[in-house]
Amino acid sequence: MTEDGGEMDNRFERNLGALTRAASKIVRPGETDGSSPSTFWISNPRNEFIGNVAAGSEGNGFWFELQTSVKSPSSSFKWAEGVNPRELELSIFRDNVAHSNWRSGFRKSIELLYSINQFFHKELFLLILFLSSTRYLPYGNVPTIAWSV
Amino acid sequence: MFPPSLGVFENIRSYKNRQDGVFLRSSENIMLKGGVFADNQNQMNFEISQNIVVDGSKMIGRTQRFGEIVEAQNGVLAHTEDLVGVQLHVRTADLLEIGSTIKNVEFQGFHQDSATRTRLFDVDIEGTRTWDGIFTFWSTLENIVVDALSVTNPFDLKWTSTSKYAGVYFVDYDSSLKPLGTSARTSSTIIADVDDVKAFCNLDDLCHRNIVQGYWYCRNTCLRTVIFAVDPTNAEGVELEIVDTTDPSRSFSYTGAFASEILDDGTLDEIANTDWNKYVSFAAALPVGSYRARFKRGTQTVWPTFVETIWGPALCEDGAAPDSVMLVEPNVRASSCDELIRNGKMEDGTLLPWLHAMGGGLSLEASEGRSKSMALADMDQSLARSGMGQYVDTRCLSVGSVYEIRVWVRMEHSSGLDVLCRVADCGPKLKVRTVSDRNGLFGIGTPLEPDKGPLSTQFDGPLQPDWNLLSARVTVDEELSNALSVFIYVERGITGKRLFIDDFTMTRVED
Repeated sequence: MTEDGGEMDNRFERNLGALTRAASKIVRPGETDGSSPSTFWISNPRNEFIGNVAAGSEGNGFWFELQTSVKSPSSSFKWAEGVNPRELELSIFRDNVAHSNWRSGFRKSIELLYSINQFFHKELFLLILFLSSTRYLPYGNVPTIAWSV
Repeated sequence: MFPPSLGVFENIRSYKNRQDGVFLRSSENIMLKGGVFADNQNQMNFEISQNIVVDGSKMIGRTQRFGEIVEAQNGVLAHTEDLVGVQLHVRTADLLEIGSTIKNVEFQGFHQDSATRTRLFDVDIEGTRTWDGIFTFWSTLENIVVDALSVTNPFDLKWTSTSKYAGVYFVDYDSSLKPLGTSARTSSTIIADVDDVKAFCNLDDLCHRNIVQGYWYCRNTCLRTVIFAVDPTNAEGVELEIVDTTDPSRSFSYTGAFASEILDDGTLDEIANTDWNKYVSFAAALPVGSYRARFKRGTQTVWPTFVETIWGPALCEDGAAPDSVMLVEPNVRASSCDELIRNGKMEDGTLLPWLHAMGGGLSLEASEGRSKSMALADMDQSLARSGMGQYVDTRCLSVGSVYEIRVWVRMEHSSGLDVLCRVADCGPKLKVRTVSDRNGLFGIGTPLEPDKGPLSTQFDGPLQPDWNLLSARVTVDEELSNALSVFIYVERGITGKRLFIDDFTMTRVED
């Protein structure tokens, strides 16, 4: 997922996310992890998503949840000033698959609730990722970070 | 602002999801290109969205394979109550935008017995809310292919007969859903089986009724909606009458809609309902032709203070053109224009016709007036730009007329020693808001122009703790004369203290 909404120009390609579960305990008020977990939670549309699969989530498969500004801690970076994810154009979104999810396969909505990355709650989900030529550069100048499970 | 270019979801596949294959909410400029959507309750769901394009997609309500898997696993089949191709809603965010364009779409597996309610297109009326009372999720269909075993009725519009929505219709751009055995030359329209939409359609010659599903399929028919928004404080008992001038026997009287805000306990939200941006709206869906429109109370032609005209998008050719409706503006007696403020002394025993700029609520307060009589007060004091005022009769505002506006204002204070305002521009001001062009705006009730600026120059010195007189002299210019609506009000300027107003006048002093 992209967390703060400032993550841009990354490519997510041929990943599989399966059986994403809702958090049983909410860390902070307003989090949606307990009610709307999503396998691919996208907070900035300026990224490429190609050939990914989201299966069996207790919430959504892919969820574009776009805020009007970049959240902390990325918001402290100079480049994040004035970035409004809702106004950015969607990059490539092609050949993605969502199935067997409890809510929607693909969801794009403007929500005011604060959310937190359910991917960081290892104990709350089972995630199977097949990384294939995936670059994930959340802050642009940081070396490649692989998602861990 | 949404991105101006289409964001493309290309060749996505979404299946066996419990709710929606794809759900777009508060979204704009999205294209779903190609892709397959199957075995979801709603293959697609678009809510308060606009400019959604679906092109080249395939939707399968129930696949044979899904049924086999469920049976093999002794599972429970999902979506047995509702099985929907595209779930639409009643409104877009912007009145002038198209809700959805759905073309080159193939529907399969929507069998009548697949679920209790199987529809290719469904409309969610969103509970008891009426919004502006007008259906604005204008959509077009084109090259829709439906397999032989699927339901042949594309819509279920039975809900329109009991709803408060006016103008419910969908355009079949190439008539691909026309009834079997019929032909069509141009666009056709699927209209709700309710009087307001049927009024000017040629039901006898062009339309096929579907009684069970609550709609008519009208071949070679193109409608375009025109909305008239009027002063909510002067619309009681008012109807909009439209007459086909080429055949005066064809006419219809429309009732207005007001989107009442309701509190959680079911009572009216008096604060929200006195907002200056909440109009009473009348909507008429008209084919090409020539029409005369008038507002009437009983048989008498009336003018509901102002009329803002808004045309919906042209979805097809041969809908009514903006110059094809002539709105009758009844003459006004010159003496009626001598004083434009109604109930200016607040002694009529009603809040009418006062409204709140910015939506902060109003109340009449006994013994708070200048002679211990009634005064008008606002309920919310948090916004400096909020205020109290009323719409004035636009017919009176002829170029060159001069009006003097006077109003007494008082800020509630805890002691006579309060210094409420020392600088000249911080206190209450007389202001006017005009709207000169509605088309191109984001919904009813949003002004095109910012405020014209204060008419009054506030106070020479500090705002006095007792009553203060605000006054201004206004010469009506072209802008004011041509405005669709004119709202005169006192902007509070100061926050945190209650504002009272009394003895408000707008008097013609010379021509």
